[in-house]
Amino acid sequence: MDDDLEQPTAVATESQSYTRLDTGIGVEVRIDKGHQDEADAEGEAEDGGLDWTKLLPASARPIIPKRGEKEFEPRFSSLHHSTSDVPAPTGQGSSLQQQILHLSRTAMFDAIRAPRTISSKLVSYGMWYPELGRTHVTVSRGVHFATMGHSAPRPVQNDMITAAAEGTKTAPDSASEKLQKRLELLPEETIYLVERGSMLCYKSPSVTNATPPLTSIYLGNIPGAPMSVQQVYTECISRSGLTLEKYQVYAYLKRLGYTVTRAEAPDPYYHLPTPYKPTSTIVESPSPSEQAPPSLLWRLTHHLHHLLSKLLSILPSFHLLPPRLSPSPTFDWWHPLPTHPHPPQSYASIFAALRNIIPSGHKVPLHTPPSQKTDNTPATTPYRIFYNVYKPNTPFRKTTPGKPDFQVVVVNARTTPMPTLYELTDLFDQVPEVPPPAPRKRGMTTAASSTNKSLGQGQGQQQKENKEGTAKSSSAPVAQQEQTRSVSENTRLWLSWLRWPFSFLFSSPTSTQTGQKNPKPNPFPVLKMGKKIIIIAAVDSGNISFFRFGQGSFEEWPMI
Amino acid sequence: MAAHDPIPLILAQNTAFVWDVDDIATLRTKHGICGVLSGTLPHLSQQNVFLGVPLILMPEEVVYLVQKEIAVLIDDPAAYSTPSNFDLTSWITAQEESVEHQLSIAQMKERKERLAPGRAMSEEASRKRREREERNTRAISETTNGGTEPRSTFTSALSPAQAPISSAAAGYTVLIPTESNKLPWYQPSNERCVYTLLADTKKKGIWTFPSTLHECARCSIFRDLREKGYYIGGGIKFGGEYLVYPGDPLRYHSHFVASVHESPVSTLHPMEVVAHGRLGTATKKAHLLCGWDDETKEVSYLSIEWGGFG
Repeated sequence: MDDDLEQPTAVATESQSYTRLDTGIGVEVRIDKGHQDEADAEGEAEDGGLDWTKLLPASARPIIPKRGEKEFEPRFSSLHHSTSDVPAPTGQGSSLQQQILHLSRTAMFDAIRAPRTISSKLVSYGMWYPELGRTHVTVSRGVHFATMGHSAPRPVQNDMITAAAEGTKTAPDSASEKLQKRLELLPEETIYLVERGSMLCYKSPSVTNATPPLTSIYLGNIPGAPMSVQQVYTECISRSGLTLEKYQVYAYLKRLGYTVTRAEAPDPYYHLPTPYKPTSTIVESPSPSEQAPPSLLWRLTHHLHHLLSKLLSILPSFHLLPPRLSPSPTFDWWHPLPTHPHPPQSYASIFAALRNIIPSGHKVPLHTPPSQKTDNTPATTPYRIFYNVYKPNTPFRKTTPGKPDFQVVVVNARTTPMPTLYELTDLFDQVPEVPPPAPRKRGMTTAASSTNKSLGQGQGQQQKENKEGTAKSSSAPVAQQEQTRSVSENTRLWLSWLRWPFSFLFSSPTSTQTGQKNPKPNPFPVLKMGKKIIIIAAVDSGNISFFRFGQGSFEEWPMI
Repeated sequence: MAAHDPIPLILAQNTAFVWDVDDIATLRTKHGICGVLSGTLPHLSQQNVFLGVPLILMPEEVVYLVQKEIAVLIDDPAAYSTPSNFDLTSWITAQEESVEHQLSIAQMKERKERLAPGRAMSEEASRKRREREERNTRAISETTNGGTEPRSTFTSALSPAQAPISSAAAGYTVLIPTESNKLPWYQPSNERCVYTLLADTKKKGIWTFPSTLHECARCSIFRDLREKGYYIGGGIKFGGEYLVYPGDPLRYHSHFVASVHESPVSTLHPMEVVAHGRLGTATKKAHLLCGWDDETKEVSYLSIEWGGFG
């Protein structure tokens, strides 16, 4: 199998040579495999040996190059040694190393110096309104607007813009009253489009001058001051709840092709997916017309629910009853465990009975100490869902967005501690359950949809299977397999013919049927994935780490 | 003041950006400050491996640069004045001139091609193109039944007087400015937006970074490591505050993951030591515990590595 590991030659130093494209100097770099084993490679994948030299030449731009190789450390040049008694911890490196470093740096600086140019046939134009925190898109071109921007009715104060953009003349006196729908961009959408060089954005003049505004027919015909990318950053971040961290996560996901929308409507015209209701099961309420922001009413009911459940959890303690138990009339508190005439009980039945008494799982409300009774979380916590993320290449409509594929929380890694249990629980209360992962294709396994089967059913089925397993341990297929190994094909046929009339002896048809139709799915992928998933992006001054928190449903998968 | 002009760090929302590529180069090659490039590269905009300006600096880097008088802080929102009509006009005329220049070049090229079509492209290609054009015009004249339309576009493309109209057909390149330096109404050297002292920015509330003991310890440790000649990057993905590189991170692997302890007597749980040792060893790094003593103003270092006995 692992021949590579066994042969010592494979581990021996192996010089890799590659030439730099743009210089023509053949540079041979020896990489000591002792320093570069696979653990190293895994670790350093994050650490990133970025080889900017492969970005050039400019003619071959759209090819995304592979990451380059790195060296262990700069070698101490002899020159350096002679000048100082104590060798500096970081030498300048040998002249070869210096040369390569210089090339890499030059390539990098050249690559990031590339100007933002775009053809006039592809460029979009927008006007940023600082007091509104939105960009009005006057000319929209390209595929971006299929997933970005929303239309909002605004009073047309400055009819010049629309008139100029549409090439029509409107009466200026009636325009001040009129509401007109227009395409608007959120701050993050504005920055993203400007930064990738797809939109030229102007800043709306704060004071309307008496002089006619200066426009250029070549540049969108917009009366305003053009903004640089730098100015767009300065203007747009911190508007409408955006932070730099949130923008970075947005741009990161957008660059990968995801569709990213806000999870809470920044204004009443923004379309959200139908909110998930935590109290009821997921009911599709088809009312795209009432796009009221879900937050207020929903949060009220949410709080009520919390309060009620807290009350319930306190009350039964007076009666020495465990919470959330509806004691059936036959339940005997003096004999909580099922007693059978014959003492030897299986552990499974005892555990099953215990599970009925002791509540478990995430449906049980969290215990809140009285000191924390005042609701502390929703207002101040940084752990709030900010983005809804949809996978690339899924049908997406801005006006009726579907259920998001992921929901992302963005936090600043420097200032935010790990989420508390309460914060996590609150987050999970807002997200719907995800379907279990599809079982791995193996033979004739069918998609198991049995995750939401109740505890008792699962237990019962398991017990049945256990019983059957012990009773008919030597079932037909096993026996057949054993025999085929020893005997030839002919005799196998013979045997199967022989056995056919007596097949009911070898296997009970019911057991095989249930076994094939509904095989017990492997619980570990389901447990590992959890029933609810939230993505937390922690950003530390430009470094984004995505963490996936899953709410495991261990109570539904008893192991015994 | 330093010998050279200080590098302007653009402050916006308590974050320091560097937009000028020359400044980025100086910071990296001369001062060993790398920052994180985090903007979309305009022509490689659908990937996250290579990113471009702006360069975002770690707060420690900013404090180091300002304390060393290498850089000054620019309050960016205050640096934009309302553009005067003169400025706007000059900007617009400059852009229009560039567009017209582009268009005239395109027209000249087109005309030259029409006059001598064989020179620009190979004979085979030109023949194919001519055939295609003929087919197209025939198709259009058949559908429109008139044949007036192709002629009208043809004339408008040729007449230089109607350049703005034909520009829609010809197309030109629009330049989206990256740095504000290119806008005439951006005045970063203005008195009221340049800050050389951290105390002033803190008073103003535009840069507040070392405000706790822990943050002061971070700054001091960063400074100490940098003065020892190491390059320093963020270490959040390796369970520490910093990654410590022996040379430019572009070419060399980091040797240490550093974690900051604000006091030499701060508690360190054994589990942390195990976790640090485990992660560091798995990624071929040693873990560096950096303790800051606020009384003696000294940093002490301790490195952890797996012993490797069996």
